[in-house]
Amino acid sequence: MTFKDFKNEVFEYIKNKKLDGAELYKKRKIKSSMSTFQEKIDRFSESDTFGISFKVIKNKKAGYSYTEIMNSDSAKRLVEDAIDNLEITVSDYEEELFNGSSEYPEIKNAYVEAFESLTSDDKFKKLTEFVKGIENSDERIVFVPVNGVSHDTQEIRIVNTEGLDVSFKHDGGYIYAMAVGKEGDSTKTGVAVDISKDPEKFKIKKMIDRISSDIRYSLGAKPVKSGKYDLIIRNNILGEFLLTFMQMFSAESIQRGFSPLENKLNQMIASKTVTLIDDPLLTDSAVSRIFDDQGVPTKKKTMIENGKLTTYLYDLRTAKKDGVKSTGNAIKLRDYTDKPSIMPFNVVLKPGEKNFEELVQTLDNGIVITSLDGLHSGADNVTGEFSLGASGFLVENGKIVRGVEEITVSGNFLSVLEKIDVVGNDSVFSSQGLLGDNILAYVPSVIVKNMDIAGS
Amino acid sequence: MIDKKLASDMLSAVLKEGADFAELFIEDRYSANVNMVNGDIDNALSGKSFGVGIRALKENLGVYGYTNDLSKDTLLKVAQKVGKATKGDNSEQQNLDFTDQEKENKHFFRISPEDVGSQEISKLMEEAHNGAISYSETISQVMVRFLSYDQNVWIYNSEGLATSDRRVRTRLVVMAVATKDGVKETGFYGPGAAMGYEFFDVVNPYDVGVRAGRIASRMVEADFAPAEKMPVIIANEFGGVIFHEACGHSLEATSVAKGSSVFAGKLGEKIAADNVSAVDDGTIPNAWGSANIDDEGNPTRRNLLIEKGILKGYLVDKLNGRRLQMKPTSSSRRQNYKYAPTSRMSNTFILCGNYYPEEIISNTEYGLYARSMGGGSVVPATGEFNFSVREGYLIKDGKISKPVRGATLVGKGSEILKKIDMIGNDLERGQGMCGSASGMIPVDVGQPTLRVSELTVGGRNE
Repeated sequence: MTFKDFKNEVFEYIKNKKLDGAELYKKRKIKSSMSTFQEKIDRFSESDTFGISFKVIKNKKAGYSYTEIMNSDSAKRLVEDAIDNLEITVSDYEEELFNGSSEYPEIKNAYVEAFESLTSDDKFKKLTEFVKGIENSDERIVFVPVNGVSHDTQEIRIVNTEGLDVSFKHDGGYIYAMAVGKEGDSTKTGVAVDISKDPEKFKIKKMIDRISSDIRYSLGAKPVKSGKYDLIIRNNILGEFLLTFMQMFSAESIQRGFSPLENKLNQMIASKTVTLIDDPLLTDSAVSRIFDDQGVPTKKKTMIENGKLTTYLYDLRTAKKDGVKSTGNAIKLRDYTDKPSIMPFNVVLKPGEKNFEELVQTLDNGIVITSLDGLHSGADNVTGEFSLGASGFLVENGKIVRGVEEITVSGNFLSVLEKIDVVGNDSVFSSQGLLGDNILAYVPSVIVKNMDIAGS
Repeated sequence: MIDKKLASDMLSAVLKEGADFAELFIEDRYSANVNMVNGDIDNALSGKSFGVGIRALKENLGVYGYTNDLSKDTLLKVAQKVGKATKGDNSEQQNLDFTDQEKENKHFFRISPEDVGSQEISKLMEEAHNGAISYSETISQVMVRFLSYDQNVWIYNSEGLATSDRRVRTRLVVMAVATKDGVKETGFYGPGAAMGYEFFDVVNPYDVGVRAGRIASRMVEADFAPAEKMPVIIANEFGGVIFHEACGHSLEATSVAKGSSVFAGKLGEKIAADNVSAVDDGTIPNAWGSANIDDEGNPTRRNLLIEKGILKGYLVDKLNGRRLQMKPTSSSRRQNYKYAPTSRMSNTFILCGNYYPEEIISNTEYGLYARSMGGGSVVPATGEFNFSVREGYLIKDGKISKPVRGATLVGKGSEILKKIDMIGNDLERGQGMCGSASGMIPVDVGQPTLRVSELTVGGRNE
């Protein structure tokens, strides 16, 4: 059965159900990934799957269901399940469907097909070059057990009884490696990931240098004494860290009392150096979109301007509650079945002037944080409190002198924003695994003053 | 549905392209998920997923393809594509004969998630909410989650295996937030089992709420944990997450086979203190991480990992078993048909020692008592780990003194195992979701109360 026939069947079946509206959301995902081990392909995967999620509205309440089968039986089941789920839902939100807009933005090159034109031999060659480059960069690097290249194409279509019918297709991919280095009793790993819409734009050389120098510095790493330190949080790690706390900006978290940003609108919540933007239309980002997962047009917005909180992020129902317009930030984070979360698409921290080396000089004495562990367990979105395992490099007199391991960084997310002293210019894309691959950060490294470190 | 004839045709299509092993994984799953926020059901979602995964092996190469387009043409095309990607030589294939595996169901359930009324679920969740909210005046918000699924899998492979399993699981999760003087702390408890709705004959939803409420309200009154090295007593049940993260992941063939695990090549060697023995047991009736067969179709079993401190075994799947030249240990698991299976844990726990938990505390002059653990993570190559302590207390003069919040435990798996110096006799298991190469899967972690002689506690120096 085609989607068109399935849609007709569903919309026909709901006619005598006394509903106020219904919406079908279909996502097709074509995905390919490859990894190598000892100069051979080790894993290879290809897939083409779809899923349909369904939403019904009655008396301003919503019910949800989903299916991966398109036939008459599943159409009926889809409707019945959604209505059952609606019946038990009690919500102080008024649910509604979006009726479309004449003003959808444009993204040039959303679907560039650069990955699709690669053969599996091309990918293998690219990956092998990358891995060999890492292995040859330093004799202490023993091997590269984890590596891979992966890309996907996503097609989203949303159709509802209010007349909305929109679709969008986009693609992108990433390459990654983790290398293991050994010296004496010390074993250390170095990791690098690059995210792009075009495999030709992967910064392979930069990634090799990063892995190589990370391992070089961190072999023989030791903890530092517990105390207060100035830190550089390196670009990709800052990205993961910021994404972890973005739920705070969701109007739903605010309205439900699950955010420390409650009552902070138009107040200073960060240092003046901080300007944080959500740019869903960012060129070269693999997750940029022209409408969100409720069909609302996306737009660029400043969340923090020179330290001042300027807006919360909204979907349809939270916007209705606050009497404002949706900011177009409803996102199904991981799967098509997910209820949309309210999140930024591309979190961008406005860059400053200094490159990474200049940041290290400016730091003078402190620690460069190159990895944070436990973001899924040691960071609390509701309070902003965090306590995370970390490793990195010790900086003395403006120079990296040795590796640092087995330390814990703790504090509060908002106090980190206040303590950001200098913002660098080395922005990179990064993602936060637990939040899925539909949102990204594009941020540089920063200097944060006076943070709590637990070590030896 | 895919009948035996089509299954055989698909496997033959894979082998014809030169693969030396082919496997079919068919999955049909109904899931129901309900979220309650502050006493109201905010979101209820249910639905069906259905798909097919086709895997080809050739020597040490694994190729995986999946689809949910079930037309015969597409399925055969995917099979062919997967086979071709192995780049083997074409070979003539005979039709495969399947032998149905003999099965014994160890995980009986009574009430399938599809047969439970949504009204009933909502009543149950309200009880859990009440348990948390009425625990203390400081409890300001409560979130309750109910999840259950009914998963049917069919597995065929080119060695003639034909088998199936039905896995029904149910879980109730409560998160409570306590607020006092502008400070917020969260408490969490989420028991689950490989059972249907009858799970709530043995687990009282109100009590689940009480436990989450207790943690949040105690922690909001607490001072920050100090940051220093000290003895740490980790309580039983979910405390086992420390073994799961710091050791279990490094025993999975996924990291052992490539030599990237700290425990690679150490079979028969001493890796833990003499008093430490541990197993991974996928057979425990109705346990959250149990099943009748693993996702390669082998009957699950109890695998000895560590015996009296000596490393006895890894968790091995078929592909990594080839690299290690070891037999699979029925440990191959995956989130769903969208993932190729690989070696994973099921119910993993440290076995009982001789001490009463009270003895362990009274023998500790100064230290941290980690009463409830949060989650954690580990870098397999180095064994470096990080756990959050959800509910902690300082021990002074052999007695539990004041509650402390914000503590994390940081260290290396290989070192902590050697520093376990007292093990209790109160083994319990707790439930969690484990995320790794083949997706998120339900697992039990477990241990008796035990003491680590010295560990870095990340806290706050004020």
